[in-house]
Amino acid sequence: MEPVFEANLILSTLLFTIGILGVMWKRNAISLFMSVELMLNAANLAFVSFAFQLGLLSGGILVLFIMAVAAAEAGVGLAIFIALFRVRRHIRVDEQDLLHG
Amino acid sequence: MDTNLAVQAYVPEIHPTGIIPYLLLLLGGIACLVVDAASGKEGSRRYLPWIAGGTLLAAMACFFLRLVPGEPFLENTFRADAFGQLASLAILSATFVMTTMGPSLVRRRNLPSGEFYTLILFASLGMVLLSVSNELLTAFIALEMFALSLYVLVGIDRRSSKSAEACFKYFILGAFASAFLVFGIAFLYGATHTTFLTEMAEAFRTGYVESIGPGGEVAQVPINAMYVYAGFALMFVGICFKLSLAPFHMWAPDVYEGGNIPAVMVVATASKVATFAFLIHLVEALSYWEGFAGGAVYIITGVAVVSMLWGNIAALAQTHFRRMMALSSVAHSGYMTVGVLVLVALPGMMSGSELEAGQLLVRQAVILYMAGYTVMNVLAFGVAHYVGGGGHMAAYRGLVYRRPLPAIGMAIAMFSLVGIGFTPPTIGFMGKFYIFKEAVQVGFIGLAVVAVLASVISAFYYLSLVVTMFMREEERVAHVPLAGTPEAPVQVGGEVLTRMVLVTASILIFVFGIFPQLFIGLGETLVNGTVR
Repeated sequence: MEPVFEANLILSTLLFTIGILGVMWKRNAISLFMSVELMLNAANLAFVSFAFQLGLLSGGILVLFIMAVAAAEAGVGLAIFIALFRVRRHIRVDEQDLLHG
Repeated sequence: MDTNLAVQAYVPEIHPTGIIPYLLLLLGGIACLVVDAASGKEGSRRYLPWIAGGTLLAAMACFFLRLVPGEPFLENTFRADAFGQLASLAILSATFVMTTMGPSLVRRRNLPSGEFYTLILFASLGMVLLSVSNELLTAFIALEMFALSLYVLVGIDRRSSKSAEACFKYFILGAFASAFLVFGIAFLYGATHTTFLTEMAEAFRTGYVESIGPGGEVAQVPINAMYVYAGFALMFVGICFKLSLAPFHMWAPDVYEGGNIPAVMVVATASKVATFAFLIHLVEALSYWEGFAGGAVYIITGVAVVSMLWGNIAALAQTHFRRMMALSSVAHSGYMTVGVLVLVALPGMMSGSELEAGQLLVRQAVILYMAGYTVMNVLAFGVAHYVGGGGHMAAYRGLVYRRPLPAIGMAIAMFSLVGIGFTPPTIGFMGKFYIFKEAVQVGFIGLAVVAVLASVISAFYYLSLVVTMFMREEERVAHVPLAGTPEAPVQVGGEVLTRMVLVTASILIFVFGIFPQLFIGLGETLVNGTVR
């Protein structure tokens, strides 16, 4: 185990945790979505560091695909936020309470 | 078996015919987009449901024509075994029913029909790809493909406030779950140095992976246990969100209530079938590792028990039909997870051909349950879409006197969903029977008892709906428009086809309930004879 590799892995875990906390605590939909993107990029960092450590090319290629998926997700997500904003005039997460049991 | 794998490693099988159904779905989706863009004010848009439905039927026919091989194809990326093929058929049937419901929904809510049918086809493409994928990146992209399509389909009625909120909640939690899934895949990749499930299974069987050292020398190093545990735990959390398993199910009732019925039906049936097929393939690969069962059994048991109990208990209190169905689907995911659990425990108890036979039996039990669950839910949601009425339980009062046939269909679906004790000849009973039998055989007796008790609880709310349908209208609750009356008119359009589909679903519940071997035999026929 090289120290650089371990540091990378710890960094990616840390970023992922920050992302989870952001999703749990943030109240604005945009910041919440940014936290999700942070989690995806943490996974990308993990992929790259594994690929580098193992001398495999596939990890790096995986990252490209995940980035493309994340971009598509951002496209759909922002469109959904706009649609919600049009009917509700705000996108605060804690005030979405029309549906309840 | 081992020699077979070795041969495949050297001579990758392409099987070009295997890609045809997937290509058809993609081309059908693009065709819908083009027709929508090319048609003017109304023009040729009315052909869209026929294009979409025809594509789905053609894709199903490809499986019956045995174009899809039963062994890994396209360089091991896909593996459509009997399990995967039957799952694909269930998915395509559910999306086909959604297409038949399309015209009435599109007309009534004035929705963009081009996007609606295109997204149905793209969602079904993603789901069938996920159910046969043998590679984690392919699986992830397939999952995102159908998830992104379904987010939009749930919220396609964007002028409705509830629909927009349901779509928003589904999207946020779905994206959150995907991030867990990707991070888990990263760790599994780090542990096994591959993303192919069959190669992973091989590595787990030996316990060692090949590693290339700094000087280029190849060494065998033991699998890093921590990475496997972390990888599986993260992926499982992501999958639990997608399957609405218990601690991660909070989105389900809101999405089911707010979304439109056809889209919710597909979220409840097809997307779950696809994700479960993937979970089964993943767990099967992991279960060969001797350190796996020890930790994973506790996690999966916990999730299964909490899902079965909490899903059913929370459903008791619901007054909205779709919220009730959401929580009932949480419980049903729990029952199916019992099958996954058996799969985890099997390699520790037997080996060789005995293990293969055991795994085959579990896969058959799970696919029978999933197909049965799909048929029952399609019938229940189909009747709800057909009779209208907003979704409040009180709307179904006296339905049997106004609309006898749909009411009987709903009653059949509810009896089959109870699926234990006094409903033997239905598919809901047979599915549960086979899964619980497998669980008892590998020694999960306590779990089987909990599952049966949970089913008994579920009888209360399923049968209370049946009782409501037989009540006289005089006892009606004020402010709730009754389903199937002029206040909540029957949604016409594509009506004949929807009716035919619902009658077929009612018949299938009994046919597969009385002859479950017919369904399992179908899978074997589809796979055998495909090798060429």
